[in-house]
Amino acid sequence: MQLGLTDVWLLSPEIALTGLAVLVMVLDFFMRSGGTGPNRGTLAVVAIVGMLIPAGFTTWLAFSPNRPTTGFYGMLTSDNYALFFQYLFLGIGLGVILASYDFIRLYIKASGEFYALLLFSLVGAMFMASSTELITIYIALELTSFPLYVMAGMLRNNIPNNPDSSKRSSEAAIKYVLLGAMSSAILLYGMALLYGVTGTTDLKSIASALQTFTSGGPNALVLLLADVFIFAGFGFKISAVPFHMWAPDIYEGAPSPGTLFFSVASKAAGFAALIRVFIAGGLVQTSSFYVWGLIAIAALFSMTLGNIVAIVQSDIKRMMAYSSIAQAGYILVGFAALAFQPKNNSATSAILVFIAVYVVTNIGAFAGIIALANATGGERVRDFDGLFRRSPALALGMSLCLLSLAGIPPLAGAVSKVVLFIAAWNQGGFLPWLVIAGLLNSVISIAYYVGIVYRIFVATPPRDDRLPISRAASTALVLSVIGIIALTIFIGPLLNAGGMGAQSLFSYLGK
Amino acid sequence: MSGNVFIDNIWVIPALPLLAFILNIFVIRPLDVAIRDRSHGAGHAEHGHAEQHGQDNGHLADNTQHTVPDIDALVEESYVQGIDDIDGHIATPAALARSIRKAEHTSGGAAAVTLMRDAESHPHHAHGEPTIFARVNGYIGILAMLGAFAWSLGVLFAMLGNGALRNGTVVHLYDWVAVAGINYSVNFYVDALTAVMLVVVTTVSALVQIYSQEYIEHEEPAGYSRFFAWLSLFTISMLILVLSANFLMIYIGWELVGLCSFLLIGFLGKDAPKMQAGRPSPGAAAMKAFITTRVGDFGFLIGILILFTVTKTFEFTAIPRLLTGTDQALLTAAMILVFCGAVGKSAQFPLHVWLPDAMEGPTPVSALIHAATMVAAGVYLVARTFVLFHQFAGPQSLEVVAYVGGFTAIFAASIALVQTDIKRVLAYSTVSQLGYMFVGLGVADTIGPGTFHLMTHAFFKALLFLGSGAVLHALGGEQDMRKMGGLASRIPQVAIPFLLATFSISGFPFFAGFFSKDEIIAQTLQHGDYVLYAITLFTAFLTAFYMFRLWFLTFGGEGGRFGGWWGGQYRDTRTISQPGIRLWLPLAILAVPAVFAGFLGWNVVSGGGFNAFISAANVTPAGIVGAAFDNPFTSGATYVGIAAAFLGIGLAWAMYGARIIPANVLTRNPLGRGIYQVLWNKFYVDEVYLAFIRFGIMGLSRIAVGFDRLVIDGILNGVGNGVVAFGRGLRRSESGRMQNYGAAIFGGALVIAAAFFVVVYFNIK
Repeated sequence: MQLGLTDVWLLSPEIALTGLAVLVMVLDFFMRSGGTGPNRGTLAVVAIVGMLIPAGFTTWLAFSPNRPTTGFYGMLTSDNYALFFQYLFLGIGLGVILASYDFIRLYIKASGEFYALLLFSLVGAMFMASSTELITIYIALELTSFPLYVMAGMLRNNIPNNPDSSKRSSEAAIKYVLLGAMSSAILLYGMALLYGVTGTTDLKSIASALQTFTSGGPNALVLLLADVFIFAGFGFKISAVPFHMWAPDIYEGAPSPGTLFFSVASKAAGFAALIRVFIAGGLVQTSSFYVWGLIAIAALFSMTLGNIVAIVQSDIKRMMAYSSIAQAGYILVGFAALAFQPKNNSATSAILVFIAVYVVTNIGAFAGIIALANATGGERVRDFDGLFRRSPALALGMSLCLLSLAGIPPLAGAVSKVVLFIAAWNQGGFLPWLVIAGLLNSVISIAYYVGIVYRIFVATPPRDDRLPISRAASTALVLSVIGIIALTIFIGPLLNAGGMGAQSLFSYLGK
Repeated sequence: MSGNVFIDNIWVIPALPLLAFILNIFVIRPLDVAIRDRSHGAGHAEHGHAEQHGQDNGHLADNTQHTVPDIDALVEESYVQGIDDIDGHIATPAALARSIRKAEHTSGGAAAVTLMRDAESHPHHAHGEPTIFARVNGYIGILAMLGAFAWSLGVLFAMLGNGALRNGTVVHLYDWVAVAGINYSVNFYVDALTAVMLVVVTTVSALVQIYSQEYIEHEEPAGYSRFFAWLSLFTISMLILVLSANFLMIYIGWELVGLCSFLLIGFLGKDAPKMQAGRPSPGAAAMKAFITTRVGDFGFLIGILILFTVTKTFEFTAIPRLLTGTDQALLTAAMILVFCGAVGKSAQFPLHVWLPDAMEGPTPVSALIHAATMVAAGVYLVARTFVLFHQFAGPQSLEVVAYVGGFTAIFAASIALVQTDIKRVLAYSTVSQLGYMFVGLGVADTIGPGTFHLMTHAFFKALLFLGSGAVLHALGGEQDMRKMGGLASRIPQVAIPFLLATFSISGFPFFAGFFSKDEIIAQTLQHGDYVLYAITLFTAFLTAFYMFRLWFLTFGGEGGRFGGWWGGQYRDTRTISQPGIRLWLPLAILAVPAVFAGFLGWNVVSGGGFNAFISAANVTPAGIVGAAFDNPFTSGATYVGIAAAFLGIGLAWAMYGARIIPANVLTRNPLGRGIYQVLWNKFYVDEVYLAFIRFGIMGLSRIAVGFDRLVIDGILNGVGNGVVAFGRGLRRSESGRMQNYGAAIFGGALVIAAAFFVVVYFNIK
């Protein structure tokens, strides 16, 4: 095996995106001298239009069914699973740049940095989905995370009506760095243990080494510790209980576009790598009862804690943080099903579909939050009172997103949740109980999602005015709403794509 | 796949109005709003909005405040007019107090519907013209409907040409959710019943849209675009309902038409003509319609779920195959629950209360939704699932259908006898005629008679409503028949089609309504159900009476030609404005089927007849394709029915046309007075419901609120606060929160690892 153009081809989306990030960063130097409005717009346009190039490469790969999937001596696997996430991350880039444009113009005033950091972080996220070697995955994780730490602290001036917001942003950044460092230490420890047990860092070799592994005995115990630590490391990224405690503080403190980005990109990338390592790396083959139990317990606690605590929040971003913890819990239900019965195609595709729908919906909900913050500076739950009378379009779009997050049928959120829960239910064993817990949690979640909708439509607005809604954020909201409606009516193609992604994950496992 | 291009591409029919809807709200309406904003002056857009909003609120408040004085004025007026009122209508203080209370009670809903309106595009009851873009929206809507109509005709003619197509084709559009364990498809089902419904829905929709151009231009020019958007949305939903091949789709269509009905009833919102006694605000009426039908829908949903639990499928074509051997009692219950949905949607007793109030919507909406199409959806539902009712459920299920229908028919007809509001008479008439359709489905062993009446009724009732709208338009919004009279000679272009439709609904021989209604009456007799026969026959008499009462009070009366038949004294002083061609042309077009559609059911004229056409194998048990009632004139009972109609028409003429019998003949004695009082107050059903809600449900909900506050909130807040307090407790440590979070991450991982270590090491399982 030799490095060749094919490897570069397989890596082309990531390379193109890196190039774009560098271009945005360099362009920013030249823009700085002008420093006026249109120039900032140029950067956003360059970033959005430029993403067409990696998207084109991804599509090229996707439509080359006979391509070799692994490259760079097995460190990179550009299979359908990776391509699914690549599309998702590029979509996140589009949504977040649109949603953040006006916020950054108004409050951050450093668009070049923000967009460049965002694009670099997306490169890392793409690598997290496509790397199949532990060290590469670790590097990818750090590449994803470092820009996030900076983004959390970018609010250097207070938002009007929101005193201390700059201070809290800096605090969030510091916390995020330190806690992120701790979590990656744990992850690295888990990876080291895994290497110690199997003698390799390549996921495929790990999988085949573990195939002949006997459970029981000291090595099995070390492997189990590795499982726990690796899960804890990724659990931080996906904010699963008990590794979730950073999320509310940092979601609240970070500037809203950053929060949006954490809640979708970081979470999706975390799941991409978590599933890849556990399934493709064959970690669930040995002591699967414990691995399964670990995931199931994390799922149960994430759902329950996230939903219950979200009810009593008064800050909308804190509420969304707990909401995202709960959503991670739902995804973990699917992951528990997968761990319970590996090579379970329907569960994997259900997870992928659920993540995609969650991403689309969350971008819409945050675009609404950001649009409101742009107009009023308010980011508290009560700032949504009577929003319908102040801006009917924003209110309707935001409500649709929240209802979809709550899983109100027949919206896309409900369909994806049903698909996920049915996939889990069909596994039998203890999973139906976990699904029932998930359903009860969905009921609880109505309290706060619909609570906001209730405020939007029924509560008395604080002022009887019409809100000026920023164009870019409302474009993101409209795109998200169109996405939700389209996925409500035609979820079939997404299910197919998820199925293809899932299949490739197991074909890699090769047994 | 049937091989027929129209049927295989049936999606075109709903796609056309969908296209119009999307163009309307996403492309043209924004332009409409934009140029209207500019004409208001671009400079003060921000400020102007706030001001306008305030103004609107003020207007709403004014409206509410004026309610009570208006009613007071009416009390006075009624006392002055007293018992010499045209109908001997008694206005007792008690009755008026009731209406005042009701008006107060219902005005609360206005706020809710106000919410559904977009304030930015809404100048304060402007008398302006719709913008060019608004008009374009109208034209697009009409074009789309005409296209859908043409396609539906294609489907119909395909079936007329090829009998095999009538048995039904499942057109698979796409899989909605298809993963392991679940497989739901979006399928359309096209058989003879569908084809008839498609033609009815698209015909009436197209004509109503043409009519609405002129009507809405005068009533609500600012909402012109929005109105056409909602009309298109309604038609899409109705077409989905009619085309669906499974319970899932039909339920979606069912709820969507309910939503559109809600939006359109409340359309006039605060710009409605000032409230009169006993008339709710459009907002309240919209809420009432939505909530009342929800009661029925709950039963419908449970019925669907029972069938799904038994068969594991929603598909109409698959359910019968999978039902064999199922407990009949369970299926009877399921089908009666499904019928509950029909009761709500088709406004049958006891859920009929929403339909008369729904008349607060614009009249084209009343014609399209609350007369011709949506309210017939209940009848359609029973017809669509007829094979389940007839072959799988016990006979009780169809008996329930027949008796609910029969009771509603006579019940609503009796209320219609004394109403003075022209649209309310027609509303109760609709309720009554829908009752006929259910009788038809319940007693006949085929869907023929019920659906035949559905079709003829759609045409003549749409005509009657559009005609009443033209009257309202001519009189500047007056709905009280006591202030009309003699209009036939003044607006003949409306009166002629209206009279034809009145003859049709009254069952005058050879008009459409005669054939369809007589068939149902004949069926009750053939079925040996003499109670239903007496009810339907007597209702036929009542129908002829109240419809011609309406005719004489509105268009004829004292001093008219031909003994009060045509023209006469006009009892008000308002000037009459002439309806334009876009108002009366749809009436003239509808008059054709309203008069002649009956011949389709008469085998002397149409060969096999309507029944043979529609009784396709999949909805009707094989072998009972009806032929016995294809020629009404072979049975003596027909002549009894004709006699009842003539009696009703004659009595109405004697009382209101020629005035041979004084109109207050009944109210002169105490018993008659009592009956009158009960009918005028619609058997007090609304009052009973109100009392039930006020004392029963509100009481329960108070208890529930208490429970919610004390127990549920206590638990939730307790847990939530507990967790928050837990978090706060952690934060309270002196070195800041960071360490604690770090401790939680490491600690969490360590605790889990330690637990696993212990479990695995000591092999505990």
